[in-house]
Amino acid sequence: MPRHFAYRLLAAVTAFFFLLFGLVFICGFLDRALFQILARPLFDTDPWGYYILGVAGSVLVTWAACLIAVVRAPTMNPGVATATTVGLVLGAILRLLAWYSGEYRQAGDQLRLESAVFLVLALGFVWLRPPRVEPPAA
Amino acid sequence: MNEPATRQPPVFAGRIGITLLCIYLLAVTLRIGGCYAPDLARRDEMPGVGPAVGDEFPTFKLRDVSGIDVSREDLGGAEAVIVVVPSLDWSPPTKARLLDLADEVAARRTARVAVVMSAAQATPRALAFVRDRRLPFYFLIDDAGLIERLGLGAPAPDGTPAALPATFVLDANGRVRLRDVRKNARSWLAPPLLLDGTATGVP
Repeated sequence: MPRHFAYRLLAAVTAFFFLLFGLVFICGFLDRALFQILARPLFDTDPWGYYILGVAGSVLVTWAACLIAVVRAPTMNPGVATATTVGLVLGAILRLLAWYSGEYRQAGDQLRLESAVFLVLALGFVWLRPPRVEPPAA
Repeated sequence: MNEPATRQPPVFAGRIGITLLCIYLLAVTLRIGGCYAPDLARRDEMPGVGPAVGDEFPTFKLRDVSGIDVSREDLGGAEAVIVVVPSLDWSPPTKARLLDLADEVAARRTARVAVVMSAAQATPRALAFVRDRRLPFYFLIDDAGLIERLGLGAPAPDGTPAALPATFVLDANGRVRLRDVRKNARSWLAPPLLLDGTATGVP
């Protein structure tokens, strides 16, 4: 079994889903803004909503690229795990607030479920992260 | 000159801190579902307030947010639901309650729904909610004292006049077929039971 297998697996799975959602968001933006190929839009929003969707998709793809770097060299990129933890906890808090606001009632308990998944992933990034490798002393 | 390499200590405090935060938020995630939710049983926490089941609902004529006047007679001829709300501004459970009801009404297209709010609660944020959501309801602003006549007046947290959360289902003749009056907005009668008339609980 490769070293830091659990951590690399966690980073790989997270990167996969970020990449998947990122590409879907970008496709949603491109479809509405430029090509209008799909008979029904992927997301029900307005032009500014599609723009924000495209930006969010770009961020997710970038984030996935960072996580892929972690999969390749788990001990060399400790900052990615820290940033991912912060992002996941923030995402969880935002989802909790969105659920509480009542404005997203149609989503039911999906927001709470997403929040719980984010928090479990954040705990994984906190505790599975390998110790920092010190550069050799000159 | 070689300086000794400084080794950073492991950041256990940060790990433990973020772990405690995550566990706390997980607990909130699990518990937050209990802070407000639809109820499967009818409640009448203030039985002496408002028209009783079988009584005729008082007549009224109130202005809708779109500017038209709506009276009780306009709601007649079919089943009507009158929903008295505390606020569509500062009350998240009330927004959730209306969105729940809108889903059910959209699926059935049988009942006419009138939402009544105190004039003091027709704030820009409440009106923005109404405008953005485009719910298939009348939104009536009570500047004629209907809420007070029903005995449902209650102060908002900021002291302005508001209302207790209440729901009245009227038959085609304007008589109350079902009523559900609560002291707070944290729960509401589940819309399917409300519209089916199959709710159990306080008669």
